[in-house]
Amino acid sequence: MKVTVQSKSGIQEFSAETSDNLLYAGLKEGLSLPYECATGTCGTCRARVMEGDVSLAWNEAPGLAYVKRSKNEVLLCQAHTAGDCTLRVPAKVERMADGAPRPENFSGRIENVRRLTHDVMDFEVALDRPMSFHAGQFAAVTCQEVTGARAYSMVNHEDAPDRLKFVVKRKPGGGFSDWLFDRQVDGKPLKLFGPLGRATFRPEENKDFVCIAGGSGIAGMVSIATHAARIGYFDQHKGHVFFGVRTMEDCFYAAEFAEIARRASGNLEVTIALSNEDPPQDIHPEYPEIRLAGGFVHEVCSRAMAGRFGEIVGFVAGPPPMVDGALRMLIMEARLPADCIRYDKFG
Amino acid sequence: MIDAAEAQKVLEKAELFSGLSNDSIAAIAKLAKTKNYEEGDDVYKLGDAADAVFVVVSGRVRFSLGVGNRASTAQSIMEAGETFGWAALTGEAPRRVATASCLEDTTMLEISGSDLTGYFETDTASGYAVMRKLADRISRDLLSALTT
Repeated sequence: MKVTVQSKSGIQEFSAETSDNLLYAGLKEGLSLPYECATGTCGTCRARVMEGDVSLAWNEAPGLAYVKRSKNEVLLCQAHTAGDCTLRVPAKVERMADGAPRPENFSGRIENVRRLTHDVMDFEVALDRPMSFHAGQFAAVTCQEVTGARAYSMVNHEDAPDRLKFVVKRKPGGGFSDWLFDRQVDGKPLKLFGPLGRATFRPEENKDFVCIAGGSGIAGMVSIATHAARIGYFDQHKGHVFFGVRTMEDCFYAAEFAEIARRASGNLEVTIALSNEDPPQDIHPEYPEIRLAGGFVHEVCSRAMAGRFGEIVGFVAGPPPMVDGALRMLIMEARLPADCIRYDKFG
Repeated sequence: MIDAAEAQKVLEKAELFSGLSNDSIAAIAKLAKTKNYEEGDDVYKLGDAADAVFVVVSGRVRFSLGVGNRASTAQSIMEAGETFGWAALTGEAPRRVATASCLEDTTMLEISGSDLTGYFETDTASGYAVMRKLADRISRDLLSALTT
């Protein structure tokens, strides 16, 4: 089917299969369609159907709160068409220059499921073929048993790996996380669409960086720190990771960060912020490379980084209240320009 | 373009200015400029200088946080009669902590934050009333953020 897009930068066309939603179909062909979560939550991929018959896969998608159904508005990430159609997208839509990895459909199987805490697990997906991605990107993941896609950031980072690692925090009533936690999911097939997201680590910027994350938002930060260590970025630059959890029992990936910090020769500072208890000491009892502090993670970052922000790039991920606090701190206290703050939807 | 009389009617209905005297509303209306935005336009972005307050005349404006468009904890869609951008009335050199973008063609009144606070220096009763409403709103937003 032919899909015509009327945008603020002119008209573009792409083709779509019935099985693909219109966002994925357009992204696959290299169009810069607006999106954030790509899974029906944020409402960023809003478009108006000018001609044609377009149906929605998930009529209860939270992002539909931002569209006017009476005006034929849809979310591209939930929209399918059985024939040619014309859409109006209230943004500039252009063909992206080659170079950035284009998202594609992948399939894979779950392997190496690990329970990290009482409500956090990680697992690997053995892909049907390698996926190139930038550190900080995510994939939209679906399984046969649960309706709809979930956006999860990749934890690992390599050149075109054929395995991806994801970390998932259990959410009350969360269909996908319930499925992961309650079933024997090793070997289960998944479908993935990726890589997605623009909150990426760009080594060519040559800047120090600070990562502020809560809960499973740490996934992309592990990927960024891993990439930086692998390319020797810490030879010239400093990295600061602030990881917020409630208590020491909720803490995970300490071993992984300790290993990266050792490779960074003192130029990666990792601090775990405990919001619901005082830390037993200033240094992690098992990993002396990791510091401990009490308080909300953005407050801990603010105290630790006072006077040291300078020319820095900030990455933020986690639950909404934490992200709000971190963004305010980076803008109002650290005075970072907006283009030096990277954030993709999470949770 | 909205004339002064129409701007006055819009401001009378805006919660932030409700209860002010006709003279005060008329004075504030004189500070207002009409701004028209197309669907998809950003009114301001994360990190921009917060130098003006906006009152929606027609259309819809969405707030979002971050580089992308995640909904903020503040009320995320503003419609006719609602006021936003009040960071322009607070602190020194405030900056935007959200992005405001138009969900449809939107007309707004834009009032310079420094002009408005300057006016309130001369009309302190109105200034006190507006700042109380502002304090209530910030308090509600904080409570909302803590309970969601």
